[in-house]
Amino acid sequence: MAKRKWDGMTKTRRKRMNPSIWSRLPRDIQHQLITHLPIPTLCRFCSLSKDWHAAILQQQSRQQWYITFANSEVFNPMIQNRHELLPRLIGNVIFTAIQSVPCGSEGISYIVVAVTTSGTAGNLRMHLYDSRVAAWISTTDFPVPDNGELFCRGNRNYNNKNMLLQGDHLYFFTVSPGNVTRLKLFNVWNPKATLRTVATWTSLPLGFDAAGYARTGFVEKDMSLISCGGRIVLGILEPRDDNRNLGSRRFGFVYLDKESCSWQVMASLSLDSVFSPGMIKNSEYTTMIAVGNKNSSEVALLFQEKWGCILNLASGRCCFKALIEHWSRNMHREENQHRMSCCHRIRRSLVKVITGQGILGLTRSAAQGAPCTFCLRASPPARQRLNNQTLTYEIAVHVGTGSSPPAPIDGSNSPVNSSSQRKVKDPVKDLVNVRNV
Amino acid sequence: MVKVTLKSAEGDVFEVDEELALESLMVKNMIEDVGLDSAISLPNVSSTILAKVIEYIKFHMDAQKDGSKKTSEEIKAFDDDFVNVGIPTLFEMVLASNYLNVKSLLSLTCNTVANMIKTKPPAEVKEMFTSAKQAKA
Repeated sequence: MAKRKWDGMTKTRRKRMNPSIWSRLPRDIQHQLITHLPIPTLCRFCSLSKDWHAAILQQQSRQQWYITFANSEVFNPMIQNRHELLPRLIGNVIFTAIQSVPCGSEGISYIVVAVTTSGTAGNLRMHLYDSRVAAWISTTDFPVPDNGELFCRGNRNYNNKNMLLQGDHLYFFTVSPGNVTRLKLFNVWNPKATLRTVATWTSLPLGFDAAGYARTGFVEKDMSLISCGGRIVLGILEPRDDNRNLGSRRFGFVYLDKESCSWQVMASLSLDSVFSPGMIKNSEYTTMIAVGNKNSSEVALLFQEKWGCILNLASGRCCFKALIEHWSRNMHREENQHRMSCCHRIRRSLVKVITGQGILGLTRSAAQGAPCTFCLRASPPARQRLNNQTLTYEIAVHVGTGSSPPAPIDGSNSPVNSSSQRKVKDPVKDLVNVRNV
Repeated sequence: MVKVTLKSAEGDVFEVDEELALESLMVKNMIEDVGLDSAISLPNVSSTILAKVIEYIKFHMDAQKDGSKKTSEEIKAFDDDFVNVGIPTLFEMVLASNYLNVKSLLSLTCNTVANMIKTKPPAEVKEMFTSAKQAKA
């Protein structure tokens, strides 16, 4: 059997096991074993044997794994050729959120929530999509937030980054003058529900200085609202600071403490502790996207749309073994036709793929003009790989005790930053103004 | 306190509290079927392994009791120490915990094996889990 590139990726102590002993392990216990393996390992072991392959796939599809999308598109990279285009909605889609639902043996099904503006009146409509009936099942009015509050929306490609659908509830952010950010909650199944504010804060969690965002106008961009191990978690990247090198920029995770309605620190690390110095180039738009799953304490992170890692928030280990691929649609067309056709169709949309244990992949299709895809994937390696950049790491990172202690969210050292000073380069792109007309 | 008698593969007899024995779903079923009077024979479990399993269950039952002073670190340390055994013993423990149907122990031992193999190259793991018979086929 040809040695794969994967084989060289870890330099750990190899304990030689007696092969005869483990081969006597009954199949059902082997399957039990599989449930204890982390996703990157599962993906490497997919080609081990037919039996393991089947067991691994079963495990992954048994659990919830999900995908979000932009522009009403759903993509499932585990079943590479399955790509669904939701029926088109009338009006502008402001944001969408997706949630998988347990669906017995049928495997995968999901609910999608989309909020649109309808017509010129400025009314908001909420639409629910159920994959089991493959249709938008309901359309109701969506309450307009208080006057002056804007939806945080990330940008066009990431319009699901600041939204989270968990259980019956849709969580999202709003920003109002004075940089007051609110986490709002809405029960999507109750047509009479009103918006509830879950938390309010004015300064960034972890003591980050919001002034850095002001320059680029990406206040929302570096926050990801995710579900992780049953908690509402906010992943946040420290704003840019020209006086410091990029590697010392920190990112962290805070969870919502439901009793005190405030953010509590889960992890805070610097970019250098995860990536080798210089790997992430300084740029105006260093971004971080996080995706999580409510059954897992693992989150996947994607920086600069290229560099990814999987971080376990419970153990604090950065169990990163995912690879980052970059390929061009024009290359390798024949070898990978079906995937390419997917890429073509998901062009300009970001898909988040969330598996039961963590994240399967993040795909970002090309920048304008040059169709290509960036992908943090932990998908089965059996297929021919087309990357011209492959990087793998294994790093241990300790979490929770950052070098500088994070400030409380409602800290008094609120950075000088008000929305009036903030210059948004392209307000339409980043925020949708939903002031009632 | 009602005692349950467990008989290992070698015929050694272990007398344990009923409460403890019930942690094993397999033994629990046996007790329901045959009652407490006769010894429950466990032909698939050797004395050494049965002693270890009993030690494990005992520790965790004590740790869960009210008034237990054991911290989660201590419990973790015990677990780590418990599975820090040779491969053959670990293998037997996986089998025994599966046979006796002790969920927490099965999870612990499987996790240990998973940690062992997760950084290995697929080829090595394949070799490990493929028996000579399967390889020929």
